[in-house]
Amino acid sequence: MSRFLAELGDALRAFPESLRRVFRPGVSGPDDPSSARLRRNLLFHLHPLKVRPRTLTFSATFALGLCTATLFFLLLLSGLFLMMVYTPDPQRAYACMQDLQWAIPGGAFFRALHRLAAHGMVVCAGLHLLRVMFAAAYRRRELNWFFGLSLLLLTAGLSFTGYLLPWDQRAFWAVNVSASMLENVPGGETLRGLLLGGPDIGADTLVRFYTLHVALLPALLAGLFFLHLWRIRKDGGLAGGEAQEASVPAWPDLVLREALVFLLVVLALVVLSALHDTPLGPPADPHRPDNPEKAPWYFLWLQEAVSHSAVAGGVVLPGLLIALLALLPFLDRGDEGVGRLLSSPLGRRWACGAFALALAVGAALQWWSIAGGDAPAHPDLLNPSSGMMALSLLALLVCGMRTGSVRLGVFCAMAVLLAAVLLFLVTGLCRGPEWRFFWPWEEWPVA
Amino acid sequence: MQPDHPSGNAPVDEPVPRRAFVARLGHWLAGLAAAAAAVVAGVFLAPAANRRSRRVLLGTDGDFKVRTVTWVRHSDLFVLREEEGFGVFSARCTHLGCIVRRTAEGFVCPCHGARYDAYGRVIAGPARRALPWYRIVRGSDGRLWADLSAEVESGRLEAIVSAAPGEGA
Repeated sequence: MSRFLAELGDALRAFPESLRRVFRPGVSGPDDPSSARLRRNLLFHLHPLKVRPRTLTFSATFALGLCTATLFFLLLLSGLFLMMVYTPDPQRAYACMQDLQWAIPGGAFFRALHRLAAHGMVVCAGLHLLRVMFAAAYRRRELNWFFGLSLLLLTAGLSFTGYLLPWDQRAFWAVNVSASMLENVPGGETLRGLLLGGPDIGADTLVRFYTLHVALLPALLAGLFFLHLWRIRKDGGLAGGEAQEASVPAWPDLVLREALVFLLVVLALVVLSALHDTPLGPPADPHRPDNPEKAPWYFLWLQEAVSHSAVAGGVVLPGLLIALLALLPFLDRGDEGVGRLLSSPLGRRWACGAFALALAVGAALQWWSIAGGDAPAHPDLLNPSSGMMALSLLALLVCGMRTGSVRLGVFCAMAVLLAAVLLFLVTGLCRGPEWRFFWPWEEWPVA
Repeated sequence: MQPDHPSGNAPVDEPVPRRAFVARLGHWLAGLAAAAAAVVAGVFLAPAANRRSRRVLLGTDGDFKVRTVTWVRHSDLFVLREEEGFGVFSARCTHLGCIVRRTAEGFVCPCHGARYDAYGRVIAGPARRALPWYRIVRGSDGRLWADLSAEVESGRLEAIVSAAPGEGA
């Protein structure tokens, strides 16, 4: 009995110390306090112990990867709140949106936060890819380049499955069009059935998209995200810092910079979401699309390309883009200038020249397609989308031959495709009723 | 523990050492299990069967005036009536499946701008096929039905005076 009390007394006396030990098990590491700090915390654990000073400068990465990650974090957080009030049922979904927007306190804020963060994530992930590509930072980092590419595609998939959920006109017709698009690819019929859950878009479709959006795709994205970070360590830090530089400890040099970017992004998003009024389109009408029925801006270039030809614009053009990106680390085998944005003056001249030329040619092609009277004899071959693809392959050959560098050839081809995407996006924004072209200052006719 | 067989020590003349064989077998079994799981998942996720009727009700003769095109909203069809008779064709764009709208020249798709003439033939834009025409039949009750399983030649109007036996009900 007395022994029991003595032990209990000891335990109680030691309680504060035991509690501390829960969080800081007495691991003895190197004496260096900065590395001890990194070892104590899972988030810090993802960092290397030492980083090279050049990779810390803003212009080395523009912090685009970190911005993307921060926005994903905000999306998970705001998404959890939205899940609490949303029912994936065609009878209820649109009413949930109305409740969020006008009845639930804070609903409009979380909806705005989720939407703005999603748009921001598409922008940041896209710019991150461009930065890494034009800095040739994929060299000797092939696996992480693939992880990054998959993350971008997952981001696009999450955006797509997300905008079906409000069950408004845009949602319904976007799914309808993409489901029809699958009929143009081999094996698409099966995929279409798996995605829609039935012959038509309905309750089964909404539940499937909901499950993809809130569970499968975010889980995949989170998993790949950690692999992506882990590979940075495995590959010996960010590209371009290899040369002879002295390294500095990640704490505080890297971690505090990251914290600053994280807080700035969160602050910007919170302020913007409080001010932003999220649009809500009319409810889905399965028998009558709006006129025009437009995709969100980040898919609008694809919609414009599809309006040239379903196969050339909708299948071949994105296929070429993804194939070029995926093959890039194997085509380019040069090791000079890695990690520095368009490091050679020659490359900068070629890429900018190809971009400018592509804008001019693309504008002429678009004008021909919009103003041209008679349809060409082979509309699936002769249209602005296939024209721009031909131009990009031409740029690859000409630039590659003249500079003797595969990397610069691919950069020129990508510059042309980038110009095509931008041009199609702007044209898409200018489309009005009946998918006719209107200048921004022209008024749309009342239907 | 004693090996119960001398070959447990993997003599050099054995074509595949036992450990390598067991490891390979394990990989194959894991692959087989994954394939079986994929089949089960596929069956589970397979879409519900299409039980829609291929015959849809259009209405009575009085619903369609001569020299007009009527939009039958619930089944995404247009009914064209002229002096010679009736024609029924799809309102679903053959490009990527949006519902087309009437215009002065015919029909236009609001999603990608495919243009059709008054008979649903392609004029311009990304569509490559005309809007499909279907057989129109008169039920025993005298009402008009479209038979979506029977596509007919574009622009063919049918007088359809007699009731086909056993139709409609």
